[in-house]
Amino acid sequence: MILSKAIYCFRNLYLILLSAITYKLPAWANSDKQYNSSGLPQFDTDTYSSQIFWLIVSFLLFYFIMSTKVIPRIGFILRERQKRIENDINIANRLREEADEMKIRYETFLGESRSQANEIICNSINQIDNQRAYAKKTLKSSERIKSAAAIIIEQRTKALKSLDSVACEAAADATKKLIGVSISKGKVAKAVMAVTRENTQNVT
Amino acid sequence: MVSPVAQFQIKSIGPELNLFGIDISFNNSALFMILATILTCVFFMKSIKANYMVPNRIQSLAEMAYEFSINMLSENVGREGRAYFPWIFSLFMFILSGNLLGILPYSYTFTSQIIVTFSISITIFLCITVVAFIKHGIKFFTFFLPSGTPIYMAPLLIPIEILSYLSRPISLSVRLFANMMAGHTMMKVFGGFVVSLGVAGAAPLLVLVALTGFEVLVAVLQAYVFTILTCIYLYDALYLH
Repeated sequence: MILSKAIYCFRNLYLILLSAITYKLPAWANSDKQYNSSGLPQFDTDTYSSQIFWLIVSFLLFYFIMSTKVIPRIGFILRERQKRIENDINIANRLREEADEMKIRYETFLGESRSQANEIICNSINQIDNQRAYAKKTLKSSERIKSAAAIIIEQRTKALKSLDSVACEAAADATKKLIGVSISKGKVAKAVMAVTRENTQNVT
Repeated sequence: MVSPVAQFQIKSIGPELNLFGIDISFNNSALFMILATILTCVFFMKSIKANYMVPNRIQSLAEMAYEFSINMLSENVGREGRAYFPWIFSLFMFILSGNLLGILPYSYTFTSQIIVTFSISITIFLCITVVAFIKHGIKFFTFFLPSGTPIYMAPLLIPIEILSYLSRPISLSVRLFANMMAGHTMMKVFGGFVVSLGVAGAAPLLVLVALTGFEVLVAVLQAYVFTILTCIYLYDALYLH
């Protein structure tokens, strides 16, 4: 809607301009200075003054706009961009250095903890070995103690048995010598057994 | 058939104007100078309106033009040339816009006028000579005898150097003028063939297409050459060889 209106407006303007030009054209054509057209048109000196004048006007206008508006702004944005890029590069460098530092710290920390862990492992292995050796030793000694105790018990029972027979003989001999009576072996053994049982019962 | 050089004819537009008795009537050459100024300024104004940190397309185009000319200046003149940057940039953009505008059909190439290019180059020449005099004073004349030349060569060398120095504005202006005029004349000639040959005109039409591309190249290249030679002359003025 707006577009069609704008186009219509432009068309009207264009038509007005065109009619004005066609109206004015004959007058301009009549006012045309008839420049000398023999040879190259560039060497027609009559046109020089106006061309030089308009060259000066347009070039000064051009220079004025370029030097006051265009060049400072383009230069400004280019400098700003350069500054920003340098700033970004500096930040990136700093961050990289920080990261490198952190990596070194991390690696040293890792190495330290690794060696510490190794130490701990070695220590605990040694400890375990010691404990195992100690346990073995204690196991051996307890076995020996056990076997020794068994031997002692055996010896004691043996000794007790031999003591019984010795005691029987001694008692029989003693009674024979003292009272001249020989007692049968079975009786003596019975008496001795009774005595020793009494004794052992007292002892225990 | 219309003469191929008729396109360079100056036609006055509007009434006859006089300034202190000098004819300054507006004509088609002046119209295109003003048009080039306005178009280039509109382009730059549009490109720097927002001034983004990250440029959009038109802004990066303007920045490319800026950086191109500032690189040209700093490579050929050095740090001291920075003061002349607005002049060099304006010169480059003005000639470039005039050349490119001239390629459009029905337009007029004001850089194909010897008086326009000569006015520009003689102004540059005089300004640069003045700069050299201000900077070096009387020592400026050692420019015409390069150091290390044997003294018996001086009578031969000094006139040659002076002549080559004085011919600088002429060669500068004629180079641009002749390039633009030759290109446009050639295009006109081929354009005439296209019309007069009828169906067989397709062949010159193809040539014309190629020539138009070539003309764009020449337009940019000649603006570049004009500006870089100005830079070199400026370097000579500032450092005397």
